[in-house]
Amino acid sequence: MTTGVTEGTVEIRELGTEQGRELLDRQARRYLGMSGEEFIAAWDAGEFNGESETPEVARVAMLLPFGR
Amino acid sequence: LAGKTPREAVHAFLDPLGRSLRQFTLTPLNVSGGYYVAAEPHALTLGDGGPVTLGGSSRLQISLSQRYRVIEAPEASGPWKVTTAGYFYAIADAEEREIVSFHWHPEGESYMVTPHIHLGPGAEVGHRSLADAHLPSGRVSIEQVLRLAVALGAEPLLEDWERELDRSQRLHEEWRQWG
Repeated sequence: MTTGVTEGTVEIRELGTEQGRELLDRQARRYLGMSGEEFIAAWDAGEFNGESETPEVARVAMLLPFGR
Repeated sequence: LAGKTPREAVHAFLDPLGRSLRQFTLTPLNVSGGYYVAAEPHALTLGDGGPVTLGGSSRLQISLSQRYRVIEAPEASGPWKVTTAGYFYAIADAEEREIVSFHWHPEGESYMVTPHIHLGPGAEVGHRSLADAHLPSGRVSIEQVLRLAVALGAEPLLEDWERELDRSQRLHEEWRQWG
């Protein structure tokens, strides 16, 4: 992880691959009751067709780049 | 929001956002390693992607995530710039009941690929169909959501918040392609 901190701003952290996966995993478990890996597999398989509009799925899907 | 290199363009995009967020929170902004050109969009999120409690007795919670791309923009002062590729913003009450959320996921599997708004249980909307509806909207910035949070009872941490949000919003409007 690299960080960028300057006065007057929040810390901006560039997450590494593992940290990004952990972030996605945490939110997938919290909002959808599945692991990050399971979410990615289900998303890629199109299993959320018709459900991607629920706030929970939309929230986790926005974080997908962290887990790829 | 342009730069001479992709990395510089991402900094030009993130820095005003970081200053706007600092008016309200000390929570870090996490980025998915996105300082380069890629086929798939990058992502950023406040904290770990879950709700962050704001100041004020209302203890409102806010969630802010975006996707973005680094693109070539020959007409800009760049030649690189960052363009937003989607977002999820939500404001919830102290019990985590979502009041309102702002969605734009043009690359998802939803039939609704334009920006829209959802009213959640925390909005206590009496009209059932309205509570389930996708309310069409223009493109919404994080700065606009922060302003809404203030209107709903959140208290900024710093006195200069309006000036910072104005400054960041102007940059956003100057560089965005539509909305």
